[in-house]
Formats: sequence, structure tokens, C-alpha cells
Amino acid sequence: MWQRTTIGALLSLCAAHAAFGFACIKSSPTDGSQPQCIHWDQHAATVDSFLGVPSNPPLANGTVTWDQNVMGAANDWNSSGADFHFNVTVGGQFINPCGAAGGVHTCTNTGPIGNNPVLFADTFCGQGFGDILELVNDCWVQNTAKILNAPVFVNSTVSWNAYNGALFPGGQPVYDIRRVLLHELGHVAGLDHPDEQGQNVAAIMNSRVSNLFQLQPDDISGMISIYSGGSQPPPSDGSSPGPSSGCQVDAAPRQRPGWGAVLPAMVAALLLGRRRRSGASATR
Amino acid sequence: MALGLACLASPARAMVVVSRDFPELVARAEQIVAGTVAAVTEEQDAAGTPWTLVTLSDLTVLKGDVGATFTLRLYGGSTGEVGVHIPDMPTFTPGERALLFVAGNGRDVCPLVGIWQGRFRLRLDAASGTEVVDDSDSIPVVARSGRRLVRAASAAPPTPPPMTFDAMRHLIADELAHPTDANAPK
Repeated sequence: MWQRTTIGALLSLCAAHAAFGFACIKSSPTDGSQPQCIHWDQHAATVDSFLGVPSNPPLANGTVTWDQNVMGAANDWNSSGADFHFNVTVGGQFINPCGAAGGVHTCTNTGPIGNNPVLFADTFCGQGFGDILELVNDCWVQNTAKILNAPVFVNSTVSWNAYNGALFPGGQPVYDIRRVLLHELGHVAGLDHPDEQGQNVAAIMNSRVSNLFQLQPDDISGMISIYSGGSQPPPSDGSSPGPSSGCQVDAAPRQRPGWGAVLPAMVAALLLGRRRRSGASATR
Repeated sequence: MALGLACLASPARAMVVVSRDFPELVARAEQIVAGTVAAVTEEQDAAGTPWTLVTLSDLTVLKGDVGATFTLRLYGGSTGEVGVHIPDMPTFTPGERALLFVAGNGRDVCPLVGIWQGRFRLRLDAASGTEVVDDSDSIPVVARSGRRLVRAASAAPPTPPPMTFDAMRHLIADELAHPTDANAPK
């Protein structure tokens, strides 16, 4: 009885306040099927960290390698309760993701299937980063929404460290690689930016890097929505206007993730909401 | 196998960017142009990399050497069965009016200073009958305060009227003529 009451209360809370604004990157099928959230078919992805060691370890958060921050960010997502797992390898065989589609490159500048290097680079495959700090090149099959690979490029021309708390604690433009990796691994898994879908929520997955440095309830809800207990990832709302605005929990009933996904997300949201405070955007 | 999948697969790009304030937008821009989007086209280069080309006409050039039209080259697009979806990359629609702070056009993944921070939308304000400035999220710009442009969403009530394009032009001209000290507090 209490469970039904609790579920009802949580549902009412969600419906009344539209607490979750998470979004996923959507496929654009060419066969007439519904767009879906892009996803890893085996509910797992291996990322190969080639970031190495900073020149002056330890970093401000106590880690002594950049790679440890990749592992830390991956572990945060692995602890989210979603049926998804990041495996991290360090310093394996490097396959350059840059190159035209064909041969070993599944998409242009992605490398072969399953190749997800995390690397420092001073350009994105010869193109200047400009003001971009880090980017992910997700590659997926349009008609199945299955992700094939997703290399992560970290701009080596800006100053990096790893720290918790405010984005620029000393007022200096030194970036926290861990929170940026946390954000980019969300993209590797298929998540998109909730704040670009008209949502105003606290989330690592918001498009603007901010004082937030930990996963937020909305981030966790998004991951659980895509990877929910071995079921098929939820198709996105076909009526939504943009190509990447799906996966909200207030979608039509047939498009909602199962209870096994939504309820843990809500509970996690409530628990985390007590423990964490949201930070202010650093860019605006 | 990979070649076959290449015909069916699509990449997307997601990015985190450097924060840029108003003096930085002006100083770092190689060109500052306002204009009407005349065309949005796509092409692939010799390496098969897709690009989106945004051509602006009816130009007002505020900085840099620009011809009668200006074409912005952005990474991504689609050709045939291969598509590129870029969640973070600014997108443009023919007919819209834009004010752009451009750097690295033809060299960079996205040739806008601060990516979305260097893209403003111009619209005709029905109340005043003048062209006013919105940011990339369509939030009205209302004033400059120190190094920052103040958006309506963050302005103290009562909300000031939107900044006119003419006022923005003067702000840019003033900044070009008297650049803010790079060491001034942010």
C-alpha cells in the first residue's frame, strides 16, 4: 500500500513540477521508423584514455594522472543506477580517430567500431578548436540508433586541472577536466543538453559548463531512461520539434520508460536533491 | 563492414566552450557582421568531411574586410545517406537576421567567437518598430554592464526594453575605438 502511495506521490510531484528535463541525442531514421535515443546496444562502452600524466602532479583534487579523472567520471556514471557500464582502459593501442569514413573509419573522424579514445589534441582532426574546450564525435546507425563509437577530443591548448567546487575558484581560466569529462561521457552514452530543450534544470548535461561538478538528479534520470533494466531504449516523442529533444519523462505513455527506470530515478532525485546544491552558470 | 556501416551511420558533436564576455567578443572577432541569411547549403570536402555553408547578404560590416556577401563555414551537415547532427553547433534559417562575431572562418570547427556566445539574433520589435538584439537563445539583450551584456532574463525588474541594433552598433564601435583593458576585472 505504501508503495502505491509513494509511487502516486512521486508521480504527482513529477507531473506537477516537470522536474526532469533530461534529453537524449536522437536518431533520424531513413526507413520511416520513429526516431530513438541513440544508445549502446550492449548497455556498455569501453573508453580508452590516452590523457596521461600532468606536468606537475598531483592535480588539485588529489589525482596524479588525467586518466584517473576519466576513470572517476566513468565511475560516477556507473554508480548512477542505470543498466549501463563504462569500462575504462588506460594507455592501450592508440588508433587515430581522424580520417574519412570508409576503411577503418566508421564515420568521418571517428575511427573503427568500438574505438572510443579520450585524447588531448590541439585541433579536431586538423580543424581549429576555436573556443571549444572539448568535444565528442558520436557515430551511430540512423535506423537502429545504435552507437558505434564516440571519440573524445580534449583541447590541449587551454589550461586544465581537476578540482571540485566553483568553476574558476581563483578567477583564473583553468578548467576542471573532471566535470568536463563527466559531461562528455554523458554524450558518449547518448545524452543531450536539457537546457537546449527549453528546460531549466540543474544538470551536468546542460550545455554551459558551470559550478556544478557532480552528477545531478536530472542527469541520472536521463541515463536511467535510456538504459533501463535491459529493455529497449525508449523511442523519443515523435511529435517533438527538434532532432534531439526526446526522452523526457512527460512523453506520451507508450514512450515512457518503464517503472523500473522511472521510480529509481525519482528516488535518486529526491535523495540527491537533499544532499546537493546547484551552482550558478559561469558563462552567463 | 566499416564501409557498409559508414553509409548508414551518422556522427554528432557535443562540446564545452570557453566563456567570452563582450570585450573579448569584439577583440577576438576577425569580422563582425550583421546580415540576412540568404542561403544554407551543405558540401563535402575532398576528405569527405561535411560542411554547412551559411551565406549572409544585406551586410552591415562592423569589423574586418568583407565583400558583398559573407559565407560562414560550420563543421557538419549531410550528404546522401551520411548525416551529421551537431547538438551544440549554431544553426541558421534562410531569412533570419543575425549579428555574428566571427573568427577562424575556414579554419575552425565553428568560426564564431565563443560558439553560441558570438551569435546574436536581430528581430523587428513590434512595440518600437526598430530592430533589436536577442542572444542565441532568443533572450533579449537589454544593456551592457561592465564586461557583460545583460540579458532580459537576468536584468533587475522592471525589465528594460530590448537593446536596439543601432545601440549595439555603437557599443561595438566604442569598444573597437577604446578597447577595455584586458586586465580589467571580469
